[in-house]
Amino acid sequence: MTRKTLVAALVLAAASRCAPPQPTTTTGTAAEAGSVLAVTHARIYPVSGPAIADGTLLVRDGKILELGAGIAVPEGSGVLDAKGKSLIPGLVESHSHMGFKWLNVPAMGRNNNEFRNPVNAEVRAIDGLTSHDAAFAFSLAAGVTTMNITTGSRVPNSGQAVVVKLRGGSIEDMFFAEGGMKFAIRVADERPGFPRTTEAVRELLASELRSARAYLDAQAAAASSGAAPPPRDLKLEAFGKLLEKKMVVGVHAHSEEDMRHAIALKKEFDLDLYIHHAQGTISLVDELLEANVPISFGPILPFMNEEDPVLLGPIRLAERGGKASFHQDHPDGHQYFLRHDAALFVRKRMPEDQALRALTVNPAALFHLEDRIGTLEPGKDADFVLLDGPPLDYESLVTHVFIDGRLVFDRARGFNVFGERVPEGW
Amino acid sequence: MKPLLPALALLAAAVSASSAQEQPVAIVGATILTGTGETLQDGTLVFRGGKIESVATGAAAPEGASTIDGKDLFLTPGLIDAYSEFGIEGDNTDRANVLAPGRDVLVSFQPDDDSLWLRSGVTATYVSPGGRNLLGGYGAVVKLTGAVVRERAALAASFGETALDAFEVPTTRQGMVGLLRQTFVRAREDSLVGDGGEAIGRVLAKEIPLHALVNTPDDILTAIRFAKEFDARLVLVSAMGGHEVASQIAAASVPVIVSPSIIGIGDGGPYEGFAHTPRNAARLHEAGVTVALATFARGGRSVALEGVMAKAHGLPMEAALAAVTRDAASVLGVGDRLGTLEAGKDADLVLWKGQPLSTWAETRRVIVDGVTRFER
Repeated sequence: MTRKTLVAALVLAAASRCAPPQPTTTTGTAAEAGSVLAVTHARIYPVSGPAIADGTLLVRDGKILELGAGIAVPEGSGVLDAKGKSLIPGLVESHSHMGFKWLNVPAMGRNNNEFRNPVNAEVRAIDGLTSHDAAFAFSLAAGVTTMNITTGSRVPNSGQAVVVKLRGGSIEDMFFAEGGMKFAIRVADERPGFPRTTEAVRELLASELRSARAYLDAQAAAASSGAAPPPRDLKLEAFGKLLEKKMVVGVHAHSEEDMRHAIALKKEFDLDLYIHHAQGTISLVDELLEANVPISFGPILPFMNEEDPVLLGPIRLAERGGKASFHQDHPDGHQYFLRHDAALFVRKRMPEDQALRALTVNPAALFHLEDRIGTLEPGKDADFVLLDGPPLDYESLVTHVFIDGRLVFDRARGFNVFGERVPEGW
Repeated sequence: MKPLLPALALLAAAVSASSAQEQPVAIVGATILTGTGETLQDGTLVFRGGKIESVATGAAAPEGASTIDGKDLFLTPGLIDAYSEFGIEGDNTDRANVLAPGRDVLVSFQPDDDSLWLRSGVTATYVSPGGRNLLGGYGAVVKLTGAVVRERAALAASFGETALDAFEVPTTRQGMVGLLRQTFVRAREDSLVGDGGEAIGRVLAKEIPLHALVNTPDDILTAIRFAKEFDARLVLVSAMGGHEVASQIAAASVPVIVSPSIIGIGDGGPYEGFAHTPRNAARLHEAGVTVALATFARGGRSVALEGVMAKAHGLPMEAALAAVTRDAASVLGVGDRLGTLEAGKDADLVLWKGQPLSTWAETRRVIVDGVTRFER
């Protein structure tokens, strides 16, 4: 039986923007339709179930074909021997501004807060992003494969987020799903016409939602009576999607008080809503569970100390069945630390499986993508990460990253699909 | 000597009163990492009156000593964060004067009496007057309890991006260094107007080092040139691009204070952080440079995490521990009191469950000047 090595099997997949450093044969590779890539002898953490000590993962056409112990490797498969390595689902960053604040150069970095109005629901992140942000390359090295990129939090509503996969190429190439609406319970900018208290922010958002309700009602009435519909209003249309639960809303809220405003909006309008940052969680576990509001907690490292009592919030929420995710909020936080955040929570006695869920399937579920990504199961997207040690050990490094079955990062070969130089070590 | 602020004096008094116990205390049965490179299995450390009396393998506790069980625990010196803004609130920059060599960071030092860093095993830190003024004044070495170990320990300088961002003029790096040179020349001939002459004079007399916060490889070499020109002792601070010029830094015998976790370009950091890598500490160490680790922060992750990261990225365990204990103390000029577990040194001690500077290490007890300040 001829088994191709990883090199033959995978590097070619890196089609998008830059050539791999040492191109090899183009025949019989897993990147070809129908061919199989087998990752063997890995310690696999499917997240949907218990870890598999000596596991094989089979990939075909960008999807997971099969995984488990003692699985036969089909003849002609490309094989990557992952002995001594851990294999986890690609990490999902639920809250980022990557591609807005390009290289932190001020002239390039003002793209994530639209200040034209306090409410800018018609604005879409995908229209303002650049894929030429070196941080995308860093993020692959940190094991992130999917990322929700949101507009900013300095206005009550800065627009709509976008979920991308870090597969290289343009932002369009990276598009994966809508990321939902952004609300910010915050007073960050005191320009004329903008609310001056968080209560006023909540009331402004509520009043726009009521206007959207009236807009939907007027459309329905026009449709049933055959009259001319009201003039199209993209802002109210977008808020109308929130009322119809066709779009999720992610709310920026840090304190307990601000989080209460978010929960109240969820209850009043029956929204599909989650809260990001959520530092006040420790005081609101009952309320979050009762209102079925998931949280995305962060940024954590390097800003928070491991002894900080607010860390207990996500732990208490998760142990009672609530959903917590972690995020790094680039460029406020550093993508490198997303996995370390989870380790920090394990130190604080969160079970390892819950901490891994908070990096993978829980953030995927915020955007209703949990059937496609976030765990390793047959039929799901082949987005996975190999590490040279336990996944939640600070001293482990990501060695390989695959998205849709294609190799996008290979540390040893110095290959990154974004083609940017990642300084050694990240 | 400048008198301590009233609040500080009170704190210092409280500490000395409670640490002046005459009874010896023995920590028995611990794996002792002394910070000098030695590891003692089943070690016994005895301290009294806030000072270490003895460190030995398998020794019995002395007569009359109270004991702390160190079985299954590691004992290290208290960790030292070699550059932070601990105890500083608000702006740490003199916005009115790009040159502010006469400032003393202790004037605005108001430590929190319940620091999370202390719980993480940090017992001392250098408090910097910030990295924005071309000359920012004196920094100090303090305990996390607020006690001052060494005031006026260094003179802070910065001529990189952070300083350029903060002031309208000078507008260039070369302009900043030109102004710095003019200022040092005036101080040397004693014709400097204002209160900065004393601080620069101490640098010229090699009583204290010049702490230069610079990041690009070329700025680092400029700092080394400048220090040679004035025969000053130099400590490089931040030095994200240090690994690219590690051999020149080593040849000049200049120590560095770095933060492996600091954010470089591409992930939100300063533009001049383009060369940053968490391998910086390891690369500098391999070249023979003395490395101390720091957070550059006021809170958040402790310097213990910097040690873990440096270790994860190639710094050997022994060097990583030294970089947060012995070498940090020596770079900061307090090696006579802090940084190692040796008789006569301050009883700043940490008991750990789990290998120190690993992902899963957790503090069990933190002792400062012989007084238990945190116990889990």
